Amino acid sequence: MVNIKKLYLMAIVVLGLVILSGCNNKKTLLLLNWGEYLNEEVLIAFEKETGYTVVQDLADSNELFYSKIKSGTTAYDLVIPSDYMIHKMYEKDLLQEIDFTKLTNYDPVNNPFMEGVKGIQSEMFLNNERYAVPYFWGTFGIIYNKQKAGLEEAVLTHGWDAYFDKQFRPAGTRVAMYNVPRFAYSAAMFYNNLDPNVITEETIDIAYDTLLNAGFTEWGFDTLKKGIVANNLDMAFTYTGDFLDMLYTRLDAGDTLEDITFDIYIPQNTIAFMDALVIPKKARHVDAAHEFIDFLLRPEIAYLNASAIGYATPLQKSYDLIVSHLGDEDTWLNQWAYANQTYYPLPLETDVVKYKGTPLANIDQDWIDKITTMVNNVKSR
Amino acid sequence: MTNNYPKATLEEYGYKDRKHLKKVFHVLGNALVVFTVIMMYISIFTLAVQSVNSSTDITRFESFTLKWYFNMFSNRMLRGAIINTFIVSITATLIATILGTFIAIGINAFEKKKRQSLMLLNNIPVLNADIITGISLMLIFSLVLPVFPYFFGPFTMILAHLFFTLPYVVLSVLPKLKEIDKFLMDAALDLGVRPYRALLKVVIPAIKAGIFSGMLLAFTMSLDDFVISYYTTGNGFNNLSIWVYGSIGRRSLTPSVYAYSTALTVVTLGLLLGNHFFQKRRAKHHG
Repeated sequence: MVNIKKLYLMAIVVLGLVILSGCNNKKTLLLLNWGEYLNEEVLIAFEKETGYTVVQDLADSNELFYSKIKSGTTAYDLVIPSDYMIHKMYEKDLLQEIDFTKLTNYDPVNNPFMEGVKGIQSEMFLNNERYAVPYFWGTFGIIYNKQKAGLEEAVLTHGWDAYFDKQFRPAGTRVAMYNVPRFAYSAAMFYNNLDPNVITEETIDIAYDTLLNAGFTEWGFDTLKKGIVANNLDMAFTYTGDFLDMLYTRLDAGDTLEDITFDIYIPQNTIAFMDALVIPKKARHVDAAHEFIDFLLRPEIAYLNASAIGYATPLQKSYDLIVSHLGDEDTWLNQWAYANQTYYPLPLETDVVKYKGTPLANIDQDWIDKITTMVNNVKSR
Repeated sequence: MTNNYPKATLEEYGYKDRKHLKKVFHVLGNALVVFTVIMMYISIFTLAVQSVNSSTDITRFESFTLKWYFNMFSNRMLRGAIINTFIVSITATLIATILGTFIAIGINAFEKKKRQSLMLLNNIPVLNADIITGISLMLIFSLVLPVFPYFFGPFTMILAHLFFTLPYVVLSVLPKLKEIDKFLMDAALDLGVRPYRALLKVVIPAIKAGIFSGMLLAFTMSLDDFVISYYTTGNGFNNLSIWVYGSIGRRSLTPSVYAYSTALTVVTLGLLLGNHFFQKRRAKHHG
């Protein structure tokens, strides 16, 4: 009697599981993304056109992307990690090659990537183009507060020196650093004219001295850009996209470009990063993933996406579309075009190196631990 | 007998008059209370102000607006997250309350030794760190993955929430059970009521308050849980805390989150005040 009851219970549980797992089996695309990193209009347009349902999961760091794919609780079809994490995933054999024959909009001749994107790709691991399709890219820069007397001039003439050396900047300048050990280390390397991707015991010592002497008042994330805008900080090393985010916020609030009290200086040697679309090996809807990548390669879709996100579009055609709004009557469009032209400039004919910045390479965990310890020592001093 | 010795005063016994300090302490005490209350509520207040600020910029107040309250449901992911949060919390709370009540009654019926060992088992999930519970549940659920690839999602999240809210229900029902007469059930049975009916009609009404407080506890625990939910969900089923955590990555958080938090605070406050008012009125009626 009891056994029969147990059997019934088992049957009900199993049936429930089957139904629950069956629910998700329709035409879906499982996307693992950063927060607010995809224009909802693009998503809706894609769903309308293809009939897929896009299901998004969010993570706030590359390391989480990695652990989420590794743990396998969800078989994501598409992920958008950054350069060095793409390298790591590739090395751990987590990625599958993208079938470019399925990408009808991929056309390097008529629909090329930006020079900056090509520059980043050329410095990444071999054959990275076959595994990752650029999504957004950008640089890092030194965001500074124009309200601090003499600071703008100091930053523009001395660059990294003004950021790291107290002699080159006005007294009492409040300097802040992005609270990611790898970024802090790289900044110190740029200041010393060293390669941020070469890590030895000696360079770690150099970075330690450099970071210690800089006298940072704050190590932060999102707080840095807000601190500059609120006149609580004077200088910080951060994403150019962070700066643009604040700029657009102020412009949306009705300020004009003349009212903006902060600006960014992007040195020639700085971090460049690229977030790209990759398909994990375990993906179940590979066709859907390809269709979505193809959709994003359309210049007008990339343009629509960039209009909401604020980072740099990877497609030259979308960039041209944005910049064509210069002088437009619509102030927002005009200022958007201006910002793109100023902060993500096209290379000049005379430039030898056609791009700014170095992407960070994937390095061993041991070295990351050592850098983290070094930065913690700086912070605790 | 001459009794001309001077009378000893209180001061000579070492008494010091500190009456004048009383006022200072009074003021100091009140200031401390006010300060503490302000510090506790200033964050909620900031959130509320920011939720009606037309600018996304926290550093300045632009103008009054309610647009973030409406945006809450136009942002598809945020809307989904809010709905998911309530689906999971309500389902988990209901199941946990029913199961927890019966488990508590069962535990209460055991003799002391067995009861103690069962209580130990019940307390482990309460004392365990969230992250350990989350990861271990994830590992257990992962075992099913080869058979059901889409196993992770609402089902696993509800199971996980059930896992950590159930002990709280048991913990708040048990003391009530100890309070009531041990022979209440027997008395009911002697009067000819069948066991299940006796349980429903006699025992449960007697421990109603414990069940209710357990339910509230379970609901609030479930509503704001992040760590365990984070590890036991998948396939795009996110609750609000997961969504908020993931959203901070590349860009600033939308103020609609502030709006949601403020709305939730207001609703909670309303419920509390309503309950308070209701009880006061009842107390008056009964003399």
